[in-house]
Amino acid sequence: MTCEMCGYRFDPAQNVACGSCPMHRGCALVCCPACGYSSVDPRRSRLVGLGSWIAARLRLPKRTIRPQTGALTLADVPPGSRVRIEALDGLSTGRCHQMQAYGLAPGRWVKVVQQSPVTVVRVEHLDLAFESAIAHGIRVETTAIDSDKRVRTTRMTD
Amino acid sequence: MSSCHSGSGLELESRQGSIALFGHPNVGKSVLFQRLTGHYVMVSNYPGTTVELSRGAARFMADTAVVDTPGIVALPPRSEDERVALRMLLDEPVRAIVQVGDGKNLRRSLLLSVQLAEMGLPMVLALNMMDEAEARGVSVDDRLLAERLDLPVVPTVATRGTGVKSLVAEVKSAQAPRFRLLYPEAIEKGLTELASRLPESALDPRALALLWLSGDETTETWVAERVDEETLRDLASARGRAASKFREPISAVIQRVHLAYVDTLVADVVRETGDKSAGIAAGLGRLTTHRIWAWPILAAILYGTYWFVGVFGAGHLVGWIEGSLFGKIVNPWVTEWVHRLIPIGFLSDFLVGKYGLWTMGMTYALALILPIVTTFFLVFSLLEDSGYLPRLSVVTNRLFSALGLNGKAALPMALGLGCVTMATLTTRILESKRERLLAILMLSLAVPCSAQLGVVLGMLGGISLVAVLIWGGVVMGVLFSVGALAARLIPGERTALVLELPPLRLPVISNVLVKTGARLEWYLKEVIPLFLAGTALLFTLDKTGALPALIDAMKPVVSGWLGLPAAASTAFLVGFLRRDFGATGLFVMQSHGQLTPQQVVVAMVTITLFIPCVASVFMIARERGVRTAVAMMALIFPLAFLVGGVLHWTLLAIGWNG
Repeated sequence: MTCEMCGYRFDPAQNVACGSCPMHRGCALVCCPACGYSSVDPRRSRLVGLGSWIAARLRLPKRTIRPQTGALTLADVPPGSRVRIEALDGLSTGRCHQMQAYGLAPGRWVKVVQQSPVTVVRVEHLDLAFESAIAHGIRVETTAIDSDKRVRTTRMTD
Repeated sequence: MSSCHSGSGLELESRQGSIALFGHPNVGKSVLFQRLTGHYVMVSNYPGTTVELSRGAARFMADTAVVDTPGIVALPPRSEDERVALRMLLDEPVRAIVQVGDGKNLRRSLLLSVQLAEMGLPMVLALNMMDEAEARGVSVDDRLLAERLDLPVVPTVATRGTGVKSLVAEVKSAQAPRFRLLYPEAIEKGLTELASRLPESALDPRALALLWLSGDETTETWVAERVDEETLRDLASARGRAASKFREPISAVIQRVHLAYVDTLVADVVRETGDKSAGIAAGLGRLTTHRIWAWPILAAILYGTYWFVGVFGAGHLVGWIEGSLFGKIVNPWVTEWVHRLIPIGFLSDFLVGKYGLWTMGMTYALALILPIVTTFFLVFSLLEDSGYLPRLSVVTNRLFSALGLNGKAALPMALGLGCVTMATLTTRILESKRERLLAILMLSLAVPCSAQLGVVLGMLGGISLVAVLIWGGVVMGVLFSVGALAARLIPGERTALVLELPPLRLPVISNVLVKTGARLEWYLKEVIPLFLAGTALLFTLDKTGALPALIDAMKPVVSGWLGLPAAASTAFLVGFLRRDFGATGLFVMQSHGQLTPQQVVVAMVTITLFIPCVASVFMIARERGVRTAVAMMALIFPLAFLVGGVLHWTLLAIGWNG
């Protein structure tokens, strides 16, 4: 750890000064070998440990940044268009099998019904709703959009 | 198709085992189960509502059980529910599989058919919902399909009973199909090698080997229970050898073979004469999930529900049943007869006194709660059968994502407005343990059941709209802040929503009524014993003189912190048993003019945040363990009093009193 006072870096486990202190059992403080400033070792204090655990949980989740591969995904297809599925390579194996069982298999045609609040596609005579995170993991053939509507050229930046 | 006749009886008795219903979620398995057994199980238009295996005796066959399995999307199974279904095939003797397929979505139905047909068990394919298929211009050549798969194919419309007779006849004489698919050479080699070495099961050895090669967990557990470690290692290395020939997982290769075969099969047997689905229902269906129009539709449904349950049920119906029927006719008559038949004061008081089993317990249950719950379940069953509920999940998905859940949680939450205990059971449709825990916490903390909601709205509506808004705002505020906090603190990831949207259908009234009846029966069995127990407890406390002492003991909290009259302690005391029982007690106090508007709001907020009832605690303990149930109680009761007190002092500070 780094001393908050003088910036000296040291290993709190090897702090020899503690052994001579009569109150060192259960003490969560650790003294800097360079300047003697005492600070809290989070690994020794349950209270501070719990506090930092809670604080870590309360921090806003990081937004996942999708790789900009340039491939067209189901999330980019405007509602009303029919497209052919090319691959489901952006999904986990389990999710991929599930989507294939629902009929979203490579080579099959689907019709995009809506994109908001969630993506809805028609596979045969079934409407399937799923979140855009999944739609982003399904690649579609760029040349096979069966609609007058043009595909959005601007990409979503999230 | 041949009709039902008794000639095949001999053949049946020679083979044993049950008849297993298999199929995708929401294709009518449960309705067919009802047709085949005469038993009623909750039939629902919400995918995944069958959460356990349901069994019933077959109407048409002596000593044979019909088993309804949870919906299965494909093999190998991926969710807890699907594993239950496969495990059943491995463990139990099955005399026939009945696959229920969706006539209009043949591709995905046949993907499962192909997998089941390879199992080598007698099998019949029921192509259900053929009426909807016809309406959409889909026709299926069932003879050709039967020939290709080597099994009987029967078109049915389970909701109307069409085709059920032919299905029964085919089930009686079902044979194991000789249908086999050819896989790439490396897999075929592996199958031949494994088939002779895997332990014997009811399934065809080749089918078991196929599941083993796919790396299915359920099969692995099953095999590991039956062979020694060395054999297990041999079996695993045989799989490894086959897998080394492919760059992708074997399960993906096998699935590709299935998908390709299904494509050629569909091309041969299905004729589409154009999609005629663009009717009113389809248009309306589209609007219910539209990003703008969905909201006015939801608001209209909520208002309709409020009017029917709140105004008609809780107002008119309760007024008539409680005020006129029970108040003027039934109760005076019962009281008179009890006094005449049992002249002992103590006993007659126990039955018809102030805390009498009949005058308090049964009157609360039958006259106050029953009408409200009946109207709610009627509306809920209507919404369920119309196919609206999955659309509600789509609309509310974003809202629930703030609580670490996805839109699927909308079903338990909406059902929780009817009965939280029942809703706790339905949380099983959620995919992860974490989501089930979060949903149960929300349900127990801040979702009032219809019985209580009726009483609350009746009391607050009598004061002012502002009173209703304060109550609603505080309860929603607690729901969202505790929910958002819990979602961060409970480790794990939120799962993304994937949900089928069945078409909007006009509900069949008889099905709605039967379903409402079944729910009410379940509810009354839960409620009446608790109401009687609560009344008996109050009676005992009253007669032994402990009640005033308890009221005194609770005084610092109830009067000091919440600012309520001491008598309100009685309501909170029985509120531990059922919060609506407690709320009803407060209702009686308000009608006697013992509570100011400010006190009513504080009391209602506090009791809404209570644990719903003892039964729901038992249900939480059953579903998630005793520790979770205790932890939830330890969190919820202090929180309810804390929020109530803070609200009391805030309202006092700003000087609000109606």
